[in-house]
Amino acid sequence: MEAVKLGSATVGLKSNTHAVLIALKRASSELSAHQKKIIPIDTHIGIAIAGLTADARILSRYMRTECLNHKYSHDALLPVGRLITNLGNKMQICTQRYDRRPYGVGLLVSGYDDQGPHVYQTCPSANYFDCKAMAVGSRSQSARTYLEKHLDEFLDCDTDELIKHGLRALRDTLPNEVELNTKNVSIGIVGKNTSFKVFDEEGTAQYLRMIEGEEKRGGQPDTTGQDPTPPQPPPGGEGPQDPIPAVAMETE
Amino acid sequence: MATFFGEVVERSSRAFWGDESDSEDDVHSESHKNYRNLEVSSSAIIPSTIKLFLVVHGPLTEGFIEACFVDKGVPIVEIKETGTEDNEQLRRRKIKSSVIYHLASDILLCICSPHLDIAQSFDFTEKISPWMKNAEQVIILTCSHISGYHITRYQNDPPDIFMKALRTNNFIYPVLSDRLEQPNTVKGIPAAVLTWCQTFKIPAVLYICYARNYEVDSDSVKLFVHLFSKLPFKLLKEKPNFTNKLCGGSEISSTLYL
Repeated sequence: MEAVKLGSATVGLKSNTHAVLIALKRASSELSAHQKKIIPIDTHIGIAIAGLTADARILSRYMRTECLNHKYSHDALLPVGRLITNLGNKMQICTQRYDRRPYGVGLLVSGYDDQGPHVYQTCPSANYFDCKAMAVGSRSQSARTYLEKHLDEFLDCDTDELIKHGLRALRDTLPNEVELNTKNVSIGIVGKNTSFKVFDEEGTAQYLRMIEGEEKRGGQPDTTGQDPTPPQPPPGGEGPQDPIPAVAMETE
Repeated sequence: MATFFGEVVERSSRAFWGDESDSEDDVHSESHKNYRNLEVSSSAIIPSTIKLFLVVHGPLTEGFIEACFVDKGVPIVEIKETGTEDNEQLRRRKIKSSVIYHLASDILLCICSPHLDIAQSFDFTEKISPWMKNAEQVIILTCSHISGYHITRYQNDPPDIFMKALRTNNFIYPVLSDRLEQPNTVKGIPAAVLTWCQTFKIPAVLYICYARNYEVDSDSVKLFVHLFSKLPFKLLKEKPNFTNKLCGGSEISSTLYL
């Protein structure tokens, strides 16, 4: 569980027709590119990872194999719930055997099948949860607070609004001096008549532009904002305090 | 392999120090080589009244000072390592020395070198004791990884970052954090300084910040900023600057976690 908290933040949310994953990408050094966080599994399922990269790779390979096998033998897409159950069972084995260690990765799985859109969260404990919206990873508490606050709005959203909500939730996990940009954000979407796809930089830029003018949690309002949302109260009860200026007065 | 009929042949063991093959002289000479002395720079000025002596230890706290504190100016004292190596070799190893700065209005700030060993805690405390003796109060700031924090009751979703405090008996000023509970301990230089203050009856408090990583940004230092905004000392910059790459933080970025 601690391994998941060491990965960067990821948000997943769904409406009546679509499920969206937004992830914060991390570059391990200045020389390297930001590493991929959202992995397509099948045309109707995609995952976002938080935690040990190597373990995530193994699980994603397993999930892809399961989906392919099912497609071949049944000529139909694997229902998301069934994939999650199989995955959970696989992950449980290594929590019980003495010679294995748990998979140190948390997944947010988004998919669309006959039952509609789904967002599932899996943990290294091999538990999985069907979610309306969820955030995992480092500092994700702020994102979860945002999602809880706006939960009722998600079901009737169109895709643009849904993605904007996800970006706002993700932005809340960042400190004030860091901004979302096309390099460190990844957006994936799946839904009715929409195969799972991860947006390229242009697609991401378009959505980032939509939330550009908005006020951040506890931050200064942007001067170009069209419809500034009312200031959100800082989550956790105590936001960063304005530092007291340390200028020595001349009269002292 | 030759066998000895009836004789007891002791098997060599890697577990014990006291084997005859290990000469005790070697052990002593090695420890002598490894021991690093501390030396105070000769131009040491000791102000007669010190309102606050601040000791800062750890990458997160050092990063906070770099980003949020007023300009420190020139150090008044440097506590360097000397040893059997000469200065050239020390410089090559890029060992940072501990420094003491004189901030405005009788406040001294001591930044501990990240290269100080836990074995040097007592030596270091002795070196800075002449300044602490004259201080009205001592505040020690340190940080630790959250995995080192022991809890007695399971918490469903523990906070990512929190602060605990330990104070000496005669610390009369308000303590701005919860007390550090058992079985948690503080060790190393912060512990040595606090113990010294308790022994010599100097009012002192130690604030330890538990965090998941030592990345310095406005979120990770907000507890320190909150602490200093409540103290009667004007030490914080109006606009903190987090872009300085020298701000603590982990120089080795992890490639394990994504």
